[in-house]
Amino acid sequence: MKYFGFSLVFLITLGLGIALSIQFGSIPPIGKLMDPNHGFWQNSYSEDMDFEEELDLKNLRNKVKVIYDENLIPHIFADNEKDLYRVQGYITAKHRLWQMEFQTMAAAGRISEIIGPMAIELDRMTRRKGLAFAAETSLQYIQKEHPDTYELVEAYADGVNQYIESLNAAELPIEYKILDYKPETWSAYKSLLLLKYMADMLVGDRDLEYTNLRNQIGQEMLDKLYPDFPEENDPVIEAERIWDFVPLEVSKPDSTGYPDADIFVNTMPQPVEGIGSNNWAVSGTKTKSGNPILANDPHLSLNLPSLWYVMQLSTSTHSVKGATLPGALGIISGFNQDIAWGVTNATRDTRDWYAIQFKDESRTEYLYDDVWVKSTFRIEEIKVKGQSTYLDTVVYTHHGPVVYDKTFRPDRKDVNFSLKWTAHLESNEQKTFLLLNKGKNHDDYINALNHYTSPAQNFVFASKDGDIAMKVQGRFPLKWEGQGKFLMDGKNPDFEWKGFIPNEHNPSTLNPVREFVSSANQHSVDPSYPYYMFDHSFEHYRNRRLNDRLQEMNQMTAQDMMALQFDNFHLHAAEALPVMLSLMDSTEINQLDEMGIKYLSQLKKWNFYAFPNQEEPTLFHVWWEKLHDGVWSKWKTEGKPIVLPNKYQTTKLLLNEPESEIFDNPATSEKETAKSLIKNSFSEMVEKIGEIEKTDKDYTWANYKKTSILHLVPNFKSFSHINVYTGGGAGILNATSERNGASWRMIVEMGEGGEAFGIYPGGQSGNPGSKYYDNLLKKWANGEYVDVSIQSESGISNPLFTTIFNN
Amino acid sequence: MKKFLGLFILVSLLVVLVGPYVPYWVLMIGVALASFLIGSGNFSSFLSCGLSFGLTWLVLSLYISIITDSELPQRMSKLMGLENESLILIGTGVLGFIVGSFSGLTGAIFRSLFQRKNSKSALS
Repeated sequence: MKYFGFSLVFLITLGLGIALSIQFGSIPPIGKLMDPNHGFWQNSYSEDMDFEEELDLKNLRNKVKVIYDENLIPHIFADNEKDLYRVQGYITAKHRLWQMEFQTMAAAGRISEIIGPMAIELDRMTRRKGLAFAAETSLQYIQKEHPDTYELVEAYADGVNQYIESLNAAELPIEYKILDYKPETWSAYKSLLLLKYMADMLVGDRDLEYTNLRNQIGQEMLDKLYPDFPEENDPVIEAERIWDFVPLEVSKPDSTGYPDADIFVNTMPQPVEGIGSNNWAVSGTKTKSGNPILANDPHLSLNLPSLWYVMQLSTSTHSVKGATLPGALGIISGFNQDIAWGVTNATRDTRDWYAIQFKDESRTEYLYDDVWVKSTFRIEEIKVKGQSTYLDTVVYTHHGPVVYDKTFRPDRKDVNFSLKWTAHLESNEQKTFLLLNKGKNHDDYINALNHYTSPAQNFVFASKDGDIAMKVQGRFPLKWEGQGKFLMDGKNPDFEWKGFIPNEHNPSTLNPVREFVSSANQHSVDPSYPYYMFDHSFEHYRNRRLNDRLQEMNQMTAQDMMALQFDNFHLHAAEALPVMLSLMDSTEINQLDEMGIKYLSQLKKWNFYAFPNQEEPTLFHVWWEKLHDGVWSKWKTEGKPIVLPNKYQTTKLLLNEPESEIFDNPATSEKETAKSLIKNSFSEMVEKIGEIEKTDKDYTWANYKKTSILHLVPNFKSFSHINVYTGGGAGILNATSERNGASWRMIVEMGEGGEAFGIYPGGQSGNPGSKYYDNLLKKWANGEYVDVSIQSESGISNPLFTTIFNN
Repeated sequence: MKKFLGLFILVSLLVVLVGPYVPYWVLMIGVALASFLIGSGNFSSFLSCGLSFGLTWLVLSLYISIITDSELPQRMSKLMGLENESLILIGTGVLGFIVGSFSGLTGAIFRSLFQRKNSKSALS
């Protein structure tokens, strides 16, 4: 009996020991997590409570000093670049290890390893797009052609790995504890993956959607509603720019037989509207101090830990400061003593699709130029937490990976669409940033940009010498007029890209007459640019507001630039609302109920600003959505992807052709016009706002749009900030929408005594237990900044702490 | 009572001094061993080890929570679907009690395997 008793108790105890240390489904290992000595409690310490004054770091040539300022911004003082990047790797990992690893896992299509089978579909998509393949290609290229870059990327990786090795169980970032896994070794390959992750985030295409649209509405209507250039084009490079080069020749083939079958595939998610950015620089003649001022605010998904991490990187020869991307070397958007630069996304159709005809089911050969060509196979092994490995075979043609095929997302067995994308090319974007970090003048900037392939960016520039410049840089395929707008025929060589536009022919400007340069994701150029340039997602509002303001402002200061980054003027509303109101019938207005009258009078008095406490932006936003839907939803067919005309073209149509047949929905018996759609959408808006008033008691803009900064694992709601009180919106200079917005705001005044300011929605620490996890968030929401001017070793007032790295 | 207290103090020291260096399941073995060596009765060992382990975890957590003033306990409570922050503290203590008590009982019963029947009362 007593043996039985012992066995029972022993088994219970053993069971407890085991059960509490393993994960059941989504329930984390409770024992490990709650243990105050190793579990989440240990992540409660902020960085200034738990730091090392001295550390040994292998492979350093000299001593390196790291001083943290009051916002936990590290200032690294090293003797040489190799030491600098080794310590950058270590320090970044110390504060952002989980995030940098998670992002590269996402880019490699390895999320299933962490969260299980629900991510298999996502991972398959990522791998089929060829991000890992692209990073491998770039790694081989850099190893061979740019050993100088490779050496530094390796030093960074070594720094990250020395940090990982030094970690004990208690210090492990909390996300590892909750999700129950451990960091793996970092590598140069992972740094390159991170840059591909950015390309994936920023580059889209609508070729398959356009193919369906052309079949559905015809080429003529397509050209009318989706023109290559808008009526009011206000391009990145000023329209007056004379193109002083002889363009490469490219001619449209005589007969272009685009495949014209309807496509029913569930196409990949696209960069959401609102992902974009602003940047500008004004010449000294327009500023109060006489020095150029540069500003940049990249709008990306608003996440915690923050996408950006601010650092100062100093060697004996240069000091540079600004926003880094954890995982990549150097500063991405920033400045040194001589130059400043910033980036916005330069969208362009750099991703094209080819329909492939295989010889047979085995898909080992495909038809190209009347001969059968051998394809290659890449087996993707997707490890899945709690399940056996998922194997996915991806066929590669010379165009690129076959993303959509019989095993992935089509409704027909003969679908084989191959993706060609500049992000797959050999490239060394890292070098661009390494060179910009120590650049001294305009020549250095142009030279640095020559290494940059993807994702294409509008690089703004200002220098101490007084220069301001802008260049649209990426590796852009040389295309004939209209090429790649639709799914192309993969067996016809006429559809091949005809080479690449030389870097020197990419649109650029230096010290233009208007004394400022700017970009806000709009068209890069005026139609006079001698190459074919197309994209679906150019922006039409922020650019015009920005240029109008820059044109009329003089004697500018850094504070003026802050106000401009936080500018809440809603240009789309200012253009569309008067048209919408004018289309409201007076008899209808007389029939409105009390609510309708209230909302209408609010809208009539609106000043077109989108401050958080205003109600009018909500009214307009809901009305516009209902209207847009009322006009275009008739085109949607279940399972057949298309894109609807954008708000700019829709507004133009309402203004210029309110009687147009386009407004009619042939499926209904009555005849719709702009007026009837305006009437219906207004009623729908009144109904929806009425509901919001009843349930929420509040339809102010901030409360309606609910700007949210979400943790990278969306389930971790308590690590996120939901419903942040702030204004702005998509298409507004302060482009803060629900999930996107200024992920980093920077203003730099060049020259002696020049100051720099920056802010982002989060904090320097990646640890949700630290007070530096989200300490900058409130300032960001209020449009405030912190001083990020370059500091000397002795110049940092109120340092939090200092760590010395010994060799 | 002496053995109860002795075991209590020993387990508490074990959790505080050895705890930071080993995972909690090694502590469980340590607790069982301590209970085996001290030789308190079954129920007494169960209670002494449980209370000691649980209270030590509770005090450690409370201490960290107070000196760091971190929002993390609150965030973790929400993440685990708990109403308020104090529940996660109590939860840590209860978990410590369960882990400690069963380890202690295992050690005690194991010792009793080597003793003649009825030589000791359940409570000593």
